[in-house]
Amino acid sequence: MEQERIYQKQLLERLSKSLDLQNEKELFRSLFGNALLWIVDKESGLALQTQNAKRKIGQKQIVEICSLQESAHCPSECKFLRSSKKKECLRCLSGILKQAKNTKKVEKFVCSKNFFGLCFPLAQGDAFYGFLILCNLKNSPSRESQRLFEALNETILEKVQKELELSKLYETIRPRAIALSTIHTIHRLISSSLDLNELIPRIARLSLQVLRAKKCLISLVDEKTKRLVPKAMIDISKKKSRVSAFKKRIQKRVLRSGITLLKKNYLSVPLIDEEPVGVISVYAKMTNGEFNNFDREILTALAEQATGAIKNAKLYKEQEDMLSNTVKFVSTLLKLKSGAPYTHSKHVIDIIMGIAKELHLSEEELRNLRYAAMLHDAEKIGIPEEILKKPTFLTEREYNIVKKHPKKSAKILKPMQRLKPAVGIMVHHHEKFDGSGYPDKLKGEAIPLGSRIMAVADTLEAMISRRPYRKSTPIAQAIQELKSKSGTQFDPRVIKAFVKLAKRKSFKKLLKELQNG
Amino acid sequence: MAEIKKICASTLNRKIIRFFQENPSTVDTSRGIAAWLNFDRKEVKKALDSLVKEKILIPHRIGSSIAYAYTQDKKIIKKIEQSVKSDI
Repeated sequence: MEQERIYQKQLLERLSKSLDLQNEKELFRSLFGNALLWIVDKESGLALQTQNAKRKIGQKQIVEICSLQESAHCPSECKFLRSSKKKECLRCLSGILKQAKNTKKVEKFVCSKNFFGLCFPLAQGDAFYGFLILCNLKNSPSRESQRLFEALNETILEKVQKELELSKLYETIRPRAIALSTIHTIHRLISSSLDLNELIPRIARLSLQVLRAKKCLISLVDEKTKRLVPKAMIDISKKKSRVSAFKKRIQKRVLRSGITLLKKNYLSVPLIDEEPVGVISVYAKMTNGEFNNFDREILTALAEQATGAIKNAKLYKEQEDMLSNTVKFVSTLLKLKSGAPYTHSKHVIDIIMGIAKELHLSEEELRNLRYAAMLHDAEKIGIPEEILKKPTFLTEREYNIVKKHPKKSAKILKPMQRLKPAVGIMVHHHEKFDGSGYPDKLKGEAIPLGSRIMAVADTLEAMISRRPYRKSTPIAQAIQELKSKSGTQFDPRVIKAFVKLAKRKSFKKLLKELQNG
Repeated sequence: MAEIKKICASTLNRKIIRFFQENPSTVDTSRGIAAWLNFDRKEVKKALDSLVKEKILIPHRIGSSIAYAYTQDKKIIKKIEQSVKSDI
């Protein structure tokens, strides 16, 4: 009943703002002089005056009809309703409303002042909403005018009803569509990360965002101990937050039962793959309200996505560990096979990674660079032992052999598709920034950034490490040497990052360790 | 943060703030928000980034694109509510 009443109110309000109804009023004014057009609410007897064409569309006047409710305000346009005769006038209107409601047809009437009018009942099937009244007509409307009035009103009513339905549909669907879009975006956000250390806090932050909660705790089951271990606890009001015994207890309960727990002040959902892998909990609404079933649905959807993403991240880590071990194995094997008297120090990898981080390389780029650095020594495969062990300068023929070796190493590693970017970096780390390097004489930005970083670390190591046939160059002098070749042999951006790093205490220590082997 | 009144001087900023006020749980890209507001994506992206600078929105990165969410800072939310009540 209440819904019907709301619908009726909305319909009449829309009708009162209808531009078509305004045009109808103007049409009848042109036909009958100063015609008035009224919408009357069947329940309260409120009359909504359709807008005056001179007024701004969207404004409305609400006027009560005296015969239906005694405390009347006079419609500004009707001189009779303003006058002492208004009771008489309104009695006439009241009578015609009753008649039209019964017949559900357009009724013609003559008021006490001999003005004519038409009353259209706003009805459809069993539903009845009110009336449209055309009055203050100087001449009696013909049968054709009545038909026109009826046809126009039916069309306008139908149009307004459709507009209202569309608007209701829009109001219902829009928030759901926005929520759906959010879930889709969150899925993209979660599945774009394969690093568990980054993924878990990200899920926690997004849960806080979507649930508008103040705290979020995510715990995962440790595969070895099978215990629930807190992995991320975010509190929007604190930088660091403690995980209370109560929170742990609740999560254990949810993990054991595998059932969501919804309470006024917290919501806890299990992360279930084939078996429970963890629990996600949110606490305290930002609005100080209570968690509800809608929140439960949203967090459950988020938990399902989170479980998939966590599983993928774990699988990826396993794969990466496997690949890393394979690279170590291949690198050791190639080092042994090469017969090189000196291999790169493990500190070189730290220097390379230090520069790369200073240059803000992405996680993926860092990973590939690490593999390239690990495979550093593999480049020597295929170089004759007498060249590798020669203490003096190489002849042109020997140097030409050396220049070919990076591509030979690349050929050996080619079947390992996952190492393709790393091999690319390794192959080109002898290129020089001015294009005078080898094997492809690449120049500037055409040289992979990882290769440009490796080139600096490689040269640095060659200068400062001790060899039986030459003295080690002092670190400060080596740095100067590298700086002097910025823009010719080395990328100035890489040199700048290296020089900046070299001023740091921890990096100075690393250089010392490299020098001492 | 600049004065809310100044930020709301732009119609698009006002529309975006109102959208996030009405849908505070939203996390969406500039493309999504442009569709909800029926505005040009590039203009929306620019406005969203300016609102991130003002700490009214929080950015979440997805590869090269960004998803935007409403601030969780109570003070900022309160300021916006006060200003919006009278101005928007």
